[in-house]
Amino acid sequence: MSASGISLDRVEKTFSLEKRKTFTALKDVTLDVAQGEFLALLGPSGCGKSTILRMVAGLEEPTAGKLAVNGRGPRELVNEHRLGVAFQDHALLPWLTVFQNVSLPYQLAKRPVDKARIDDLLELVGLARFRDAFPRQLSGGMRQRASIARSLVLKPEVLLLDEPFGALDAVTRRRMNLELARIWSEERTTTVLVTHDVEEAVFLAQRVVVLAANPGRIRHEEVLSFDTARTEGLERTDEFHHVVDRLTRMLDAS
Amino acid sequence: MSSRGKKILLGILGALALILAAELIGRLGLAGKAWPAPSDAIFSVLGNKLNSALLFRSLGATLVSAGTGLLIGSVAGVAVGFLGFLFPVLRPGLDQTASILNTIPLVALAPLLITLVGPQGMSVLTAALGAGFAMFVATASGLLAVSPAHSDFFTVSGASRLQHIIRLSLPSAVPSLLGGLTLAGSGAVLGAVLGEWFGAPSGLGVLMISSMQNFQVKLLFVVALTAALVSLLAFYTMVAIQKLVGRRFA
Repeated sequence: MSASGISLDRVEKTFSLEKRKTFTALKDVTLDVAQGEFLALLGPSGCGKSTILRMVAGLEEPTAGKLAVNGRGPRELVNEHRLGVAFQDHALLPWLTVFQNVSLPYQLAKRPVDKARIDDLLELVGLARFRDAFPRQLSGGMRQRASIARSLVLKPEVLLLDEPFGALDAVTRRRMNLELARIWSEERTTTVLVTHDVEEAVFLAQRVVVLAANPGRIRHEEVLSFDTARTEGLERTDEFHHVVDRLTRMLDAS
Repeated sequence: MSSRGKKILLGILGALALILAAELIGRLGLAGKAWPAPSDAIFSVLGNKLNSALLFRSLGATLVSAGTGLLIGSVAGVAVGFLGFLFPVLRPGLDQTASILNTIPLVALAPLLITLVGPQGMSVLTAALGAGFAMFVATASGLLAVSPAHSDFFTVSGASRLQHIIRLSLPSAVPSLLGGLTLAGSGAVLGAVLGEWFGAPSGLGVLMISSMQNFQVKLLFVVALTAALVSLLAFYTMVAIQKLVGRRFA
């Protein structure tokens, strides 16, 4: 087990249902994410990909196996305020403005608010003009960008993205992916993205792990090394299409 | 016309129809002497200096009782609701005590309460009970109305329990608290009027009893109307506050 990055060693997760029945969400998952890597967990719904993310975030405990983030338990990372998470539901507080929402992690960590850092980030995600707007005044895509800015504000060691664009329409989603690639190329944080969108995973990640359901397990790993940078043109290359086709077929088969 | 405009128009039309019906029944004497025409009752009471002075003095006394009761009841209700939130062990017991207290008819509780605070204190106490129950329920449910996604965000951000409560649970409870206030406001007025029946020196409730016993039907009618109007006014004031403040927290 390496001391840096995220490592899951034969992790298993079962949930107890009523009448002493149990449900195995994940079985025998061994996975390493290197420091500074962008990994995508791809799979059909019910394959336990979000459960992996919730365990890395310390929101769930593995039933068996070992899980470490940079050599320590997930709760330690959380207590040191070194984890950033963007949820499928943006989870912005409706009574705070965009600026206040993004500065909240500083307050929760009891650190002085770095206004310049927040303004830089809002610039980076294209929300500088909306810093004093309330979430309800923003579009769905803008809320997700604010949520991503909030997850990045403390320069986390690890960034977890749980289908952050799942609720958006295809066009907005594509634009968000371009922006996320741009933001990530500037921050280079160890990132795990959970998605069921093959193109999104292939476009953003350096490595895609395909999961199968019942019980959730790793089915395939694909290291992506495109010649092209992750910008506009990538989705139109033959290489990109080949990979997407292959992984899509794999998802259909599982 | 917007659906909201239609609703308001229908409401006004309905109220006008009811008033017209009450007026007709009174004018034609269909229900005997016990049913005065509303317009006649209002003009004769307000036209009589003695009666109108009595009415406004009583209204003042009731408003003071209702206001005091609303304040005491709200503070107590919120405090008890918060206590149950901080110590979950207490929650089932508090819930049951509150609902038992609320379901026992006031008439059955009255003798006990009178020995506790005396007849003069009854109107404030019953107003506080009415408002307190609404605020307790609003607080208890409001503090638990935190969205799971927000709660997850606070957990993964390493928030302490105190930060969780102050920065998440309390603001999340605001819509519910405002909803509780709309019920507490009119509940306090109702409670104050009822409490005055048990021997208060003055108030709308006292005036109701005395006008009933002296067969001053017109005065009784106007007093009841005043109590209803005050209760409505309390309700709509709270609704306005709810709209103004609540928008930000919803």
